[in-house]
Amino acid sequence: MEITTERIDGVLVIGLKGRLDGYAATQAAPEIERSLRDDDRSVVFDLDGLTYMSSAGIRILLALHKKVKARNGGIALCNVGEYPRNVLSMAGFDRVLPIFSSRDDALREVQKREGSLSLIADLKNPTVEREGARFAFEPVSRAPASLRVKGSLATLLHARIREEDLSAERLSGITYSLGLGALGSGVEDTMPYLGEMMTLHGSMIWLPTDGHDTPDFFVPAGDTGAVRAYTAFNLSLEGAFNEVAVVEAAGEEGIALDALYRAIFALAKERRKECRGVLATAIWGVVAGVQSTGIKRSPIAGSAPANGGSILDPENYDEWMDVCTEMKYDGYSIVTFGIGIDLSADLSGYDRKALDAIDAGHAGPSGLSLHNHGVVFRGVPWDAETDLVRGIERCLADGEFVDMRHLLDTTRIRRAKVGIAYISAIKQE
Amino acid sequence: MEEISFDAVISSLPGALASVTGALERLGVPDGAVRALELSVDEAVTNIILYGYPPSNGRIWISCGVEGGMVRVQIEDEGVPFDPTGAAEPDLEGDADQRPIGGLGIHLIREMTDELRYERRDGRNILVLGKIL
Repeated sequence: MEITTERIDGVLVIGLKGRLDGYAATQAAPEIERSLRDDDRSVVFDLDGLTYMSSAGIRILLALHKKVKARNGGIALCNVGEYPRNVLSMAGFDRVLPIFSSRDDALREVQKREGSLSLIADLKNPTVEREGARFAFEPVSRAPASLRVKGSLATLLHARIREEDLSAERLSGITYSLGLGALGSGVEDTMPYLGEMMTLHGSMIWLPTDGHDTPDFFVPAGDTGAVRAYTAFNLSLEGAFNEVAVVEAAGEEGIALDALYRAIFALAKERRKECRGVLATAIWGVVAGVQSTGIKRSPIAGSAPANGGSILDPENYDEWMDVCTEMKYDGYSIVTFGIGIDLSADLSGYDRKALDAIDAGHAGPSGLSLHNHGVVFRGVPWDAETDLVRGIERCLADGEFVDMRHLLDTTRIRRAKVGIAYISAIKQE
Repeated sequence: MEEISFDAVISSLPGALASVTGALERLGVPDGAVRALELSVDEAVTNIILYGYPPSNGRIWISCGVEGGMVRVQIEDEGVPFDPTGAAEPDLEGDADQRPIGGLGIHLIREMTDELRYERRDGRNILVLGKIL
């Protein structure tokens, strides 16, 4: 049995060659599962050279067909030889699974379906193109949104966190936040494990600095108070998003996070006069690749770098930060929360001290300072009809939890719903 | 009469199928009947391995023979008693996404064979698949 998977204009084409018996099926099923992205709606099976197939093969085709049918898609078969065609016919599947004589015909058919689905979306909302992606905006709330800051990034980055900087958070009160924290029964308990964290809809996801590099996903079952989240730095959104951008990258490689923010800032200059240079966003989307960092040690006073510098200084960086520049999680779902600061904007309208508390002072090449955390999930079907909040809830409730990271600006997103809050004020506790 | 026996694990299947088709060819069974019995044995054996035995336990015995214009393959196992001849016919109509996935294997066996007999004897399931020559 030989399996090949490739992408042709974004459509997954799976080639099955040789003998697909009960054993080969157990080998093929996980491989097919792996190659399926959360936003795949169409799959072409090329059976050229498949000389034998049992009902286990039909089961594979059928399982995938059901999966993508639930996403308004389907599978198409091509180059079906005499043997598999007879088996399909005996089982009555030659009438219900679309069979094409060539790969081109099968691809043409599924692309017709993809095209009509995106046409419907286009008609509903006009799109603009920026940075190699299409943007359509849906208004949400007119009420001004603000950021609430606890602690300061500078204290964190210089590893000067003391016990009195830690306080417990009521998770149920926070819809979107990112920061540095830990779960535990008290301040003393949590100090050594402070790590990157975010809260989404009352759940806490964090990366303990316990040396295991394994994130933890905590859904509080009622407010029993036994386990609490302690944070030393926390940045949370107060108020609702002002609008949601539906973003679709033109190419397979997706749009980088910094390009996404750049586009939103540029479009805001034309469309949103209230944008004063700071944005908060939450994303539900499908990634083309995640590049990330994670703090390795709890940045508490006492473990501060000997040279008194920041843990992000080049000479301290490797000791403190885990960096993953490999593009990971292609086709997985992601939920992010973060902020972007346009350093070229007139930021004088914001509380200077509060702004300093959230700005790491590391602007990227585009003059933006970004800080985003993301949770990666697997197996949450992408559906452009589902709204942002429901999409996030679906990830939290049904998704297979994979990872949580501080995202590098080079993380690439293929399609997404982006909740945007044009921040009117930053409040420090 | 050729006899084959192997561990009831799914990775044994390709080798077992090759042994069965080899034995049938040596018995002079025509190609069409060999292919039909190969698929039937695949379905029956996969079912025994996946559902008949606890994981990685037990063996399966297969013998092949030709007698009176009929080729027969006999499959024996010591797994839980299961009579596939009594299984209900699957629904072959309706949309692909609504059709149940189970029951296809036994349906294919029925389509591919002219004789299908089952008995439980001495703690063994004994399934005989026959094809008229």
